[in-house]
Amino acid sequence: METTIKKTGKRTIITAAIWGATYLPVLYLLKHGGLDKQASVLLSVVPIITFIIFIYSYIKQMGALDEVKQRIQFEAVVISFALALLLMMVLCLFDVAGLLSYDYFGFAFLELYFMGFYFVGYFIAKQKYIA
Amino acid sequence: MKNTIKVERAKKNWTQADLATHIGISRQAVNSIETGKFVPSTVLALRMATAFECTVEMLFQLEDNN
Repeated sequence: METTIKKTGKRTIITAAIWGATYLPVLYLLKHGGLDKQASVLLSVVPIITFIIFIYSYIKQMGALDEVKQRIQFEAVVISFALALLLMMVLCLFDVAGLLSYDYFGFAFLELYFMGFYFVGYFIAKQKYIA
Repeated sequence: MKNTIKVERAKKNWTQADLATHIGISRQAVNSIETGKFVPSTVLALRMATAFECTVEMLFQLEDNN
């Protein structure tokens, strides 16, 4: 079982690295490449595909984990989802009030915040079950 | 919920890692269950009972506040 977990864990890390390796250059090219709309849309598909592969691998890994680790992942996602909703609510209120600065809360930043929330949730859940 | 996993392990002279290998979970998971931080599923409780050759009731007991 441990071998299966290690194998699927390694696969998830590799697919995450592939997603990062495709996403960042595409992001750069879309911003600075001077591509036309059609090429931009086509290029955007590449990190979407690698992200789907990563998520598929992540979900498959969840199935190979034992009960405690599955609970940790579940609680990490619940906490990160709650924090994401909270952030969205705050941003909505700020936006309505005309106080929102898109320099810090654009879509690219939100992505980073959401990833950070997952790790916050993971840390909290891990402390609860595996101290 | 309290449990007697530590006692049963001692009877068999098993470490947490030994028990983990027998029931197919991680050592951290065994530690989490043994210290009462996590309540296992019925299937896992039955697997533990089988490994220790005892009943689930012998391994896990309800406390007054349960």
